[in-house]
Amino acid sequence: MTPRSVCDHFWERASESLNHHGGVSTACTGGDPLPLYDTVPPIMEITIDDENHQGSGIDGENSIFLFSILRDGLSYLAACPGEISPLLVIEFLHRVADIFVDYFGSPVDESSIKDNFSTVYQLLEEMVDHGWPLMTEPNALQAIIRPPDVMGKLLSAVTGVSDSTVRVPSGTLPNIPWRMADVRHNPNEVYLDIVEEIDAVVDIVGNVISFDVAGSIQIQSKLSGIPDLLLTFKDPTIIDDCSFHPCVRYSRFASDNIVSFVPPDGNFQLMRYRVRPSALQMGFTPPIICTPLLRYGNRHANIEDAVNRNEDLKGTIDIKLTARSISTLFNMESRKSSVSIEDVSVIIPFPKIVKTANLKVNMGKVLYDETTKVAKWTIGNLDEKMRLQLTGEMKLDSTKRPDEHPSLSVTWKIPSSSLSGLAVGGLSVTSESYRPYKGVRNIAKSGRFQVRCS
Amino acid sequence: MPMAKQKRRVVRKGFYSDEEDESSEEEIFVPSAMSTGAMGTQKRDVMGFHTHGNEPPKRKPGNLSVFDEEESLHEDHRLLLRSSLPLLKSRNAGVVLGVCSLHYYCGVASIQIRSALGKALVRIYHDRREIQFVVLNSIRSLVWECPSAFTPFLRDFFVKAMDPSFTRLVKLDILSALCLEPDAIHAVLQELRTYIRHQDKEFVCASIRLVGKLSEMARIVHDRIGKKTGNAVYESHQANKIALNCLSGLVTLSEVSDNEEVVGECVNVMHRIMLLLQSQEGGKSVCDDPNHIQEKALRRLLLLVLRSLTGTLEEPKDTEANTDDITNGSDSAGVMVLTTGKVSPALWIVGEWLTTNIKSLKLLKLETLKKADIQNEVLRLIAKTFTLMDKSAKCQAVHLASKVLLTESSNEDLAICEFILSLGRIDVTHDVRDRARFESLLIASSRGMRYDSEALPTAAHDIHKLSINEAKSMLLNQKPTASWLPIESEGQKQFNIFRFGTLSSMLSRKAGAAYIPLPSWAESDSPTALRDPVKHDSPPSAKAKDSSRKTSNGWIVDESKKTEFYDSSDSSSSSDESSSSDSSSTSSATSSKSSTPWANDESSEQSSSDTDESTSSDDAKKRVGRHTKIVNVHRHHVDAMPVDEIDSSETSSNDDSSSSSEDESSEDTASPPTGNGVSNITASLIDVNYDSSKTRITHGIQGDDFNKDYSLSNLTDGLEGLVMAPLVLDKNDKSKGNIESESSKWTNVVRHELSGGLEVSIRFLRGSSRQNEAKLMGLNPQIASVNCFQIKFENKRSDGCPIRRIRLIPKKNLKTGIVPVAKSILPMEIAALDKGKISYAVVGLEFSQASDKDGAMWAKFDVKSDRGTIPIDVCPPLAETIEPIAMSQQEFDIAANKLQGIHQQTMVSFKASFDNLLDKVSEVSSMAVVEGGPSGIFKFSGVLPESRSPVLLSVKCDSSTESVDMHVYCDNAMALSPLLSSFKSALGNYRGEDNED
Repeated sequence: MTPRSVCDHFWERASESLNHHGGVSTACTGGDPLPLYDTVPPIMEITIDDENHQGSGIDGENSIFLFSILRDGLSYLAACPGEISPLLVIEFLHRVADIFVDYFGSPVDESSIKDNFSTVYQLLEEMVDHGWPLMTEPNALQAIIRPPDVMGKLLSAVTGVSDSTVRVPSGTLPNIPWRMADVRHNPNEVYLDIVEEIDAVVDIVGNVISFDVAGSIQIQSKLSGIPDLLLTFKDPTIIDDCSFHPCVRYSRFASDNIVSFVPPDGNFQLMRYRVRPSALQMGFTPPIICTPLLRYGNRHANIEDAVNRNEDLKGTIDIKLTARSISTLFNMESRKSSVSIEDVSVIIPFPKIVKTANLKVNMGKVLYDETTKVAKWTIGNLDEKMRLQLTGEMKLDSTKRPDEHPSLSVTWKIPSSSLSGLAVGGLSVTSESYRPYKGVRNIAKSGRFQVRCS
Repeated sequence: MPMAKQKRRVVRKGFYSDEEDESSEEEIFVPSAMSTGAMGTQKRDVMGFHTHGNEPPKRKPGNLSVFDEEESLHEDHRLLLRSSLPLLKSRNAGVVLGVCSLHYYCGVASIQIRSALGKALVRIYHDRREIQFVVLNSIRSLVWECPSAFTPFLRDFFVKAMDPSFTRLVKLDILSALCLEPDAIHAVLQELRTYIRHQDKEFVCASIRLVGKLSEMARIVHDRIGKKTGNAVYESHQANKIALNCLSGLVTLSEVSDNEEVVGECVNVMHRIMLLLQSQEGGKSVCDDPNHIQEKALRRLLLLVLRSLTGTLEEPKDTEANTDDITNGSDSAGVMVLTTGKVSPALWIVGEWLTTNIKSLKLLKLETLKKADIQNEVLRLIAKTFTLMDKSAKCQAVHLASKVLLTESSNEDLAICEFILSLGRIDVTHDVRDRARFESLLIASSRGMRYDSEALPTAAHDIHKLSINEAKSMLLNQKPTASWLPIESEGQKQFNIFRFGTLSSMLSRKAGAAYIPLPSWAESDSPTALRDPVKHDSPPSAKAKDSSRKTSNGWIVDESKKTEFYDSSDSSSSSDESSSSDSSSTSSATSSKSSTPWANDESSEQSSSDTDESTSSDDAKKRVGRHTKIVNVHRHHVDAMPVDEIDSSETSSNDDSSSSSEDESSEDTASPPTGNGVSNITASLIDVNYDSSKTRITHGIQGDDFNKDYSLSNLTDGLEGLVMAPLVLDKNDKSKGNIESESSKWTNVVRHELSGGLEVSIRFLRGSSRQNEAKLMGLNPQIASVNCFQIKFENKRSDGCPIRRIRLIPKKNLKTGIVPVAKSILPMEIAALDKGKISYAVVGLEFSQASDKDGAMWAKFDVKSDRGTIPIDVCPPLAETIEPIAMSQQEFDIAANKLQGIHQQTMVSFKASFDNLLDKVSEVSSMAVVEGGPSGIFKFSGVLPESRSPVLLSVKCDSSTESVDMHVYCDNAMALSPLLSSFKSALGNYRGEDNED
């Protein structure tokens, strides 16, 4: 048994290593900034001072190895007594978190865990058995544990009667572990999203220092029976290296570059791929030009003056944002319309010594969190004609000039475009007689897209 | 140890229980834990801990190519390595890392494999931060050994602003190992320019250290290129330029930064870089320094030294010399001072400048007089603050003093130097005391000490008196450059003590007791008998699991060339059989699900109860036992009566048996009929009805009307798919008894002469064989447009080589006027078919509709193999698609009388042999025999697939003319002539004289 005190140990260590943003990550991509115990290492060794364990002087006898992952502001912990492959534990924790997202919707935070505690407990019972990972496929779990539904809760809350007509899961496990048995959908549909996330580091002038495309194919499958799908690409040589959902037949891809699989029901990630470098020889021109300018003190002389007078420094910030008309992204739609960029937002983590900031924008809205010193500028849609600007003043907490420059995180999303140009050649369903509706779309979006201010 | 091994396996399995390759996954770890030592032909000079003494005796001398090396592996080892490679594509990063680990420690060190591993690692590294951390740590362990695997991904390791602190430092380590080309060095230095402004000071310090390391790496890299291109001067110039740029950057940083740690680190690195530049100057070429960066650096250092010395003086602190984090209260004054630990390198540089005449270390705008002033001031400050200094700074101070003593200086300076030395001689620290005494003695014996020399040992007189030059050569000569680079095998040891990817390697210490180090290679291979599969004694479940995987692709390969199909006496095919039965059990389970939509409403209720029943295996076994017995009985009586044989082609053997079984239990109304007991009851009921003379009458089932039978059969068919276990054996039994009779004759579609040795034949399945096969493939056999054919591949290559990758590819049939295929269930490809082997498989076709037109249902396939592609057409003839309908003689006559129109019947008489007439008809058509007629007249009945209009055939043997009169009745005029011709060709194949009407 792992004593509960492990958690206390963890929090002790975690609170030690809060960053100056109050533990707020500057990397969060959507929603409000979430606390992120940024610097807590994923693997910790914790020595348990237990009376029962006293006396043994062997090294590591009563220490516990604590793996932690952080998802949406929650830390998931796993305690292990000894040598184990750390990645497997971490993967498992992430799987648990993924299942929670499946069941409770995104994001899974404290309240949703509290609301669904009984389901959480059931899930954990099924997923871990006496310390061994057991059943981790969402479809298999759904055959055993019913996901909580809002209507049922509402009903029972309003009428006070617990709903006896709830559909009890069949409890029979499917023969294909990742696919539920006996699935029926009336319109048979399958949607394919080719999402390419672009991680990039852009310097202050706009040069791309490094970039990386992480592609993935997400599928939403609503197909009856046991369909066997065949997915072909127009130019499979674009794919350099990939990983597959277990439903994919590896050998088929190795021989023919055809992805052949029996899909699970619902949403899943079919594959992830990295793009062949030769396909990206054109490089990457970011679709957004972001020129930040941070100044401390109006003029150099002022700094000296301020230092002499022992006054607090002031600073200015000025961020210009425009859409670039020409980018290296492929437009996957035939019609030549102007590219509109969606979901644009900028996150500005201010340095520690900034006391307050007074920010103004000519479009969108900006929120500055005093305690965490993070500003978020939400813009929404952006097109070529717009010239966006954020200006503001900062009050610094110190007389010294800070020597650090924050990096802005910019998020954006461009539908029906792709950097690699990977396109689906065909998707066919065999072994079932119906003809499903098939939808394919490409999305290019920012992964970790950062603009350096220095 | 065994416990840990087991644990690892279970964890893996647990994680992968949802994955496709579960079993192969499991395999990976077992051998890696157990038999890494089994064979060894690898280079394992990785960490230096398994290299010595374990060279396998069979290793050939000299360098083996990768291919040779892999070929020389033990076959089990090779198999393990090869079959684990596809797992690099797993979505589970832990699995990928496991495979990498296996290949790194037990695999062949080939460039292809290494780069594949590198690629996979970089891919999984682009994941969540915690995974990143583990993967990066693993990459760090690998990158020194095989940097080439990671060099293409240099930019992926650049630090991003969002990287948590625990990955940043690891990334720096990786970057430093990847700087093996000028471009890479350039790119990384560019990056470092950003990193040194990071808010994490520890990271900044590490970056600064990396700058120093890179300037040294640049030297090595450019020297190497210089040697290669012969342009050494240019290249060393390039290297110097990099070093100077680094230096200039550091000078600026030390001016800008307000953090002591950072400035201290700068000083440290500046010291090293200047040393590096000097060392070269002493050697071949003079360093070109147009912008006088070294001079600037020197000034900066000097300033820092003076400041920190005065700072220490002004605010004397508790001089616990070893604590590095003593900060001087300089913030208020806004003056940067060095931390105590960093004074010593600065002092050393200043000392070098003061005492040597190296060109690069000259302050150009400084006159000698000024230099003397500076020297005086430095010495004064050192003397004043000596007691407050750090241990290492004291050593450097003593060293500086003795160096100055050896140069021509003012008397005052010399006096101060001697004072410093004597301070050092009585210092509390042993190190300082030792050094001070050593250097004092050196000075005393060469130059002579003026003051306070009595404390020195007097033995100096006996020793050979040193000349000043000798002393100078000891203290003032060119020093060798210190290196940042790790010493081979030592620097990496901290990462590589443990296997990478393990918890212990993350913590750099043994985590718990469970870590098992890799055993050394075994001297000899373990006997292969250990790995042979256990023969028949193994528990059936394990065996079934194993074999079902093997043949789940739907092929059954006969071992010998002409063994009887499905012969149970053949031991090899019996294992196949069990496997096929198993695979069919799984597929029947799936088909049961898919068949539910077709099941009639009335059947659904019963079917669900039946499913429950089938889940209990005892029940199933009981049924099976009873069943086989009955089948045997039936076979026996089939043998006895030749006429029945045709009969059994339309009814299936177990129809009778089931009806009989039902009969037996008919008294017991409470017991529900078993699934297969009810199945296919139709035909036997009809038999009972219309064939009162046969033995089967004893079954005594009372006559039902035709329609009821038909609906019943529908119902039971729906049931049959839902019953899992009995169906399997049922099918097997039947296929033994019936597949030969319930099919058309083989048609050769591909001749081996034309296809490079591959012969392909097909035959169409009928009756219950067709039904069962169709169900197994998830097709509804009730639909007339569903066709099943068995396909036979035979390797007839003359050179005896196997034919590989035989597969069927459906082709679009573009011809108009035909019925296209709606769905085809194809067997998976045959990996290899050895010489003389035959492989059978069943292909299911569902055409988009049934057709009464001959040759309208037309499917096209390509038979592909490594010998080429051969197109084949599969076109079930109309006679084949006719469904059998049982009729009585009276009904036949009534029906025939109705079809007396000119377009409704046709007659032909021709010469034919009367032998096996029934067999010949059944070769081409599945029509049912109408029994009980007068001898010499054979009647057959069936319905057309689409219109379901009856087709009647009567063959009258005229023994006098040795000819037959054949009447074909059919409502569909279009169908008449193709039917007639196919029957005629079946009967008249001995080429008798034809005289047609």
